[in-house]
Amino acid sequence: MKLLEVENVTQEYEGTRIIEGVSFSVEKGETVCLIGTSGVGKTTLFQILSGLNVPVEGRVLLNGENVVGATGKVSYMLQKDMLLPFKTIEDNVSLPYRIKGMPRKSAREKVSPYFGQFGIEGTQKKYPGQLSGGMRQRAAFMRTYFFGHELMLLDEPFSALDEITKQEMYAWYVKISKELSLTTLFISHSLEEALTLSDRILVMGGKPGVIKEEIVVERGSEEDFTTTQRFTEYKKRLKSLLLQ
Amino acid sequence: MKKRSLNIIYKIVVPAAFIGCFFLIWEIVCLSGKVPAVILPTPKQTFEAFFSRSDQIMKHTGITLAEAFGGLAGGIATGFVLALLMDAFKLCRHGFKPLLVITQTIPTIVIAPLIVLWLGYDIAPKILLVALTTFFPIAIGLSDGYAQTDPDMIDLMRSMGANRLKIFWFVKLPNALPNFFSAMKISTTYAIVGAVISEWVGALGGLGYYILRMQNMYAYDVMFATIFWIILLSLLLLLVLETVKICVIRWNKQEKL
Repeated sequence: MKLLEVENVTQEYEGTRIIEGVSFSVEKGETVCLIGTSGVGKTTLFQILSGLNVPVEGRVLLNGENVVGATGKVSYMLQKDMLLPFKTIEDNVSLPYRIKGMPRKSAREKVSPYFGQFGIEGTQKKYPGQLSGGMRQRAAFMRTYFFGHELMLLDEPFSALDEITKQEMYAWYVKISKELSLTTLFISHSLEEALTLSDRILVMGGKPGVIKEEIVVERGSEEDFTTTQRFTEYKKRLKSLLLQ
Repeated sequence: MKKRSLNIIYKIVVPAAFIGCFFLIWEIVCLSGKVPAVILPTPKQTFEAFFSRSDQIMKHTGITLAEAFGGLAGGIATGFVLALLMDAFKLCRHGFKPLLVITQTIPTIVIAPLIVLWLGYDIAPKILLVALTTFFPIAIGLSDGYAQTDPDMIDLMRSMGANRLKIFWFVKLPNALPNFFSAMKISTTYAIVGAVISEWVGALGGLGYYILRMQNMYAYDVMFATIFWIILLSLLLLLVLETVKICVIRWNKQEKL
């Protein structure tokens, strides 16, 4: 069942066309990656999907409802973790509830049981400045989850992390995504990240940016997909598409 | 040497030594007889004068502090409202800024007699004058603090469905707190100085009034003692403010895990 349908979305900035005629859809429970070179319009597309930016043409349907220009309909995690430095982690994570008007105590109680599941147990009273990059990212992800919307938009969620932490986060993300039945559309610059985490990959390219190709990732039954021949072939294919 | 010991040396020992040197030079100048004792009392005479007139000084301190705090409260409220308007409305931002700067180019000593003329000799003109001198740093500090908020942070809040009021409350206001406290340091010292100056042009009490009275009586030792008391009072208020700041802005004090 389709959760998100993007129909012929076009956007311009100061007379220059950024993206043109972008169309795709995301099924419920799917993890889809949007990959493309810098400046191709991925973040612009995310801003349109989150309602922060209104396209010059096209529609964005969420469960069949046109949500163009409407904020507060999807859970959006920006490129940086964007944790508020002046709030403790529990207050950062419970921010979506506070914005909905819930008192601080109740909002804290709502998020409290999830700290263990998100791997940041014991950080409730800490400030973001006291946490490592990986933990901050988990906290930001946890906050995004509590927006409570069916669709999660993650803009390069792991780009700021070192290689070891990234690998750790991939495994953690796959696990939590299954546990919570998340529907996610994420942006990435990493071929490995795209192939490890997603069910489908949308390759963006050109000027103005368009969806050049859609690749369905079939992982098979091997324990470690990244060591398979298929993985290497997917990687080659993606690389050649991005270099075109 | 450990970093902490060095910190103590630079923050406490060095300033104390310099202040000590200042008093020593002052004492030596007085004892040399080059300056008549009636014009420049020694530090010892100044301290003695303070303790002998402490009841009078304290009585006038109460009056000055009431004027300073009353005016500062008015200044904070005015500065807060102006900064809020400048943040919320582009028209106010461009309209108010030049007016605010103009208000600060008028010397306090020039405007004070006019305010006394309009409002009389009681506490009201003093409070108004202090408010006029203290609102500017608050308005500019807060306004800059709001403007410095990361636009991505605002986008994130908008994507959560937050309205302007909630963005202000959850992001902009806490983000502007460090600026607010910096502005408060300036405004607090202005408040004491403003109150003293306002008493010079027409008052029946207060430290400014007391200094003038002592000057007319050639009691320079008491005058000096009162001036030092004003300095000490300003420093004490700054210390209180710094303590409040540390308690409020806790996130800067935390160490990384």
